[in-house]
Amino acid sequence: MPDLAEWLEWHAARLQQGLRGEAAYPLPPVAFSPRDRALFQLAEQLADALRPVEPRPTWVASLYERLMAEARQAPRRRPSTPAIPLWWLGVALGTAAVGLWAYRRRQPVRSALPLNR
Amino acid sequence: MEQARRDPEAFGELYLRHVRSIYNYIFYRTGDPEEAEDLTSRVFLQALQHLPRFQERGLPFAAWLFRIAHNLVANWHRDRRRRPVVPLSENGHERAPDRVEALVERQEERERLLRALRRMPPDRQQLLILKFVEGLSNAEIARIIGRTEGAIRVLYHRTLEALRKELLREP
Repeated sequence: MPDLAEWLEWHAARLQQGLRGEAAYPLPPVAFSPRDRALFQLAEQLADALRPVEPRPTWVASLYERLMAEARQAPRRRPSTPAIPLWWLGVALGTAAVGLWAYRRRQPVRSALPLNR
Repeated sequence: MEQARRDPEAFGELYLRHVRSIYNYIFYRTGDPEEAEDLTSRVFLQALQHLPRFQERGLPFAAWLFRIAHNLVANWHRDRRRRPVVPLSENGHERAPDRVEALVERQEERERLLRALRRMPPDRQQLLILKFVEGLSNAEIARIIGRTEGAIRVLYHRTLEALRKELLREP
């Protein structure tokens, strides 16, 4: 036997389909306590009260125009990002500089060896 | 979604697909059509601005929009806490009444219910709006709110209980 939460869910689905009153109940109303029936009735009141409203068409259209204007400007405003990130370029240049420095430090030692012999 | 990042027209299609849902959500959360227009505009402008950073990761675009809307409405309520509550006005959404008295009474009942709804915690309001205004399933609501389907079912039951108590409290 489903619990009340499940019956309410079942009822809500029927309300969403447009059913009202006894037709929306999952079981004959007498099968429920007065307290439970009050919840079914409240759900039905909510389904009637919360009906979709239409925004003003002129407002929808004007916001559309505004968004399109913003969207067209956005790519131009965005700063161009380099293909290789700058920090990576810095690491590469730094490594190259250290490598060159180490190479040049070793060069005099090597060239000095034959002279000493 | 990928296309919308590069192509303004594609973003326009997303806007047209979701604008009504977001407007409705904000309308019922604020109870004011003008604020709903203003906040809905801000939702889409923010979405456009942050579009390059949006990654789907299982979160649909609609869920992302609802989260932006949820945050903006929360800020709006925070800013207005010191000001009086504006009664829900349909602003032309209602048809001309046939029987004025009966209609006025029904309208008052509805406003009382919606006032009580707006006193509920935000996630409960969101659940009811998504369920009844948008007609979404629990699975869809679960993805938007970021909970499981089982949790949504329990939350719905608790929300109805809390709302019933709230209505009994109100004269």
